[in-house]
Amino acid sequence: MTQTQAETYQQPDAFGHFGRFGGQYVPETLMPALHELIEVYHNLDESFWREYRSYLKDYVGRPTPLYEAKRWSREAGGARIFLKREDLNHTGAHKINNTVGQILLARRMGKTRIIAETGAGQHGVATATVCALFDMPCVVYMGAEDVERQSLNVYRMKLLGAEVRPVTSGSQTLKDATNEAIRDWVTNVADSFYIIGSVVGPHPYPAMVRDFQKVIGEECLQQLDERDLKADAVVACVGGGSNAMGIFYPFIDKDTRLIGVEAAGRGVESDEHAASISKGKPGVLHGAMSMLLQDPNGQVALAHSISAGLDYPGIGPEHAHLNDTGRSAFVAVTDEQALEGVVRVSRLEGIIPALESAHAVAYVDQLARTMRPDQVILLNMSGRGDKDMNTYEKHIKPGA
Amino acid sequence: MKKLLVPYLTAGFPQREWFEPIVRAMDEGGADYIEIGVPFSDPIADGPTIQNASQKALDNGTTPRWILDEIKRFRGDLNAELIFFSYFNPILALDGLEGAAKHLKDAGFHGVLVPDLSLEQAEHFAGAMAAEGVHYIPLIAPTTTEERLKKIAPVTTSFAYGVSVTGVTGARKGVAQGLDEYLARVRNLLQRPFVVGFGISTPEDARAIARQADGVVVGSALIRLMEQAEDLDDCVKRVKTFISELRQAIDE
Ligand SMILES: Cc1ncc(COP(=O)(O)O)c(C=O)c1O
Repeated sequence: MTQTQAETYQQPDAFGHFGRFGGQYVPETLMPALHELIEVYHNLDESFWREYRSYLKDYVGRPTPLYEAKRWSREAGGARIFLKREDLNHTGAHKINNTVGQILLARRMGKTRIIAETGAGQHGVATATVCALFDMPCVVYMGAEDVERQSLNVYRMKLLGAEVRPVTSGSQTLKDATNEAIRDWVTNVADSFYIIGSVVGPHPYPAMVRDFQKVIGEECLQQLDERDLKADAVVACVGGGSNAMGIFYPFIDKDTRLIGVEAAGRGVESDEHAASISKGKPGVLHGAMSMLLQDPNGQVALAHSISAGLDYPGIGPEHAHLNDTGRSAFVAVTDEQALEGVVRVSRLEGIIPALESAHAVAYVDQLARTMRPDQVILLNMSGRGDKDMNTYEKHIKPGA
Repeated sequence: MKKLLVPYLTAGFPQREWFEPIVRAMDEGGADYIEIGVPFSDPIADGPTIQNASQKALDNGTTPRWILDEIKRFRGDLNAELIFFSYFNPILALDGLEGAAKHLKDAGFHGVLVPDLSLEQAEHFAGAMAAEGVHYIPLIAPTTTEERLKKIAPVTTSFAYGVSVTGVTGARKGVAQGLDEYLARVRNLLQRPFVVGFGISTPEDARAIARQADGVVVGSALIRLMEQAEDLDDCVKRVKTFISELRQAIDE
């Protein structure tokens, strides 16, 4: 990207459009609430951001380290690989950066009840956590299938005092949990605040969640600077796209490749994947226009990924836009490759990644080989693998 | 002015073969407009009854194009006007918005209603539809401010649809609180007729609403009738009787 392009990157527009994507496709009932949210969000004063930063520091444990994965870099035999350790955040993933921001906002708006959707359960746990912290009732919608495959996180949410409502409609995963959360929101919009877990949904959510996550990339810039380094490539897994947007955003005006890794499930040529950019078409789901997996009749297709956090047929509109303009690129990694990624960083670095993050790991393992030893890859280690132990036990043989 | 009766059905539910007979029963029962529900996989504005009907209709192989073909085939001798009711994405998939507008016009639809299309997002959509003579039917909710009503009024070319409650579709007992004030506000600012729906399940509800609005929409209560029907004949009979009862109630 040239310097002039970089300087003019200012997205979204006043209506929440990122190029041809984004916008506000929601029932009229919600529109006044969205306008109120935009109003409040755009007029936040310095005291809000001070409070937000102080919770990130003392409660979440930021800044998270930037760690050079030396053994892995050596093994891969190419570029230097640096891990942004979002897995070391309180609750084990990047998700809490966003929930801290949104709950502080909900409090400022005088809302008394919190709703959230969750896939892997990480966003649900991060929401339940801040609800406990601020003494707010919390209802988390979760697909019945995910309730089963992420049972540990269900228990964590309950222990934190949240109510978990299993959703049995449709595919019983994140998409359907989001539908149900929106229905709750439409019904209880007067007193409830919907804490969306990724850079998706109607404007202003995609921009707002990005802003609450961009601390990841901002810290990286500083941490690289302290080492006198520049990133040649930034790589992150993409479900809805919040950890990716959070680390990409501060690099948009830099001379750095931005690469999002989607879930290829059983392969992008099969029907069982979650590669919305690679295989989707423009469409509207959950309040925004973006790239969407769908059939020729505009019915939303079922996504598949071994990782519940990537098992979503859509993607945040800003990613679709960055892909449109060529500023970022997207690749896809299969279930099997992700599992190999888990073993690789576990054995080489003593870091067990979340299944979602393992998708980025698998791609970086290939990418590093194609690059020179004086080049730097920045990988967003979005979460830790504790929540995935059941899956790992099932698929990865010890000693393998 | 005569009150408007606007029944809703999910096309293809409970069976595709029942589509035409149910529409005819509604027409003969005295409907003014019939909302043809075109099922979508992710109906965020619908409660369990219509969600379930939509899923069944999709499982039956119902597609927007099949519905358009059917309507084109049997629309000719119906008295009622037809409204295409669906979410934004299946409409977009009908060859883009301009393409969709042509399809709707060819099939003979009077208007189109899209619960997840906000006014902010509707300009291009409404323009494309208007170019083919298809009316964009805007939605109004209890949360809609006066300021928004003033923007909705000028884009209402046929009638507007007032949602009775902050919530999703579904039959409820009785009529929502605070409705009088809300409907009076709509009445004051809208030059065109407006009908009210969401949760109207009995002739009594319909009668009460019709006193303050230009008409009523009945959806989930009809879907429930269809669920309970023993066979097609029974379904047609029940639907026709219920529509006539609603007709009577609002005409009083
Ligand atoms: C650890 C981790 N990484 C990534 C994701 C995917 O979400 P996003 O693309 O919004 O970062 C999740 C979602 O649950 C997650 O738990």
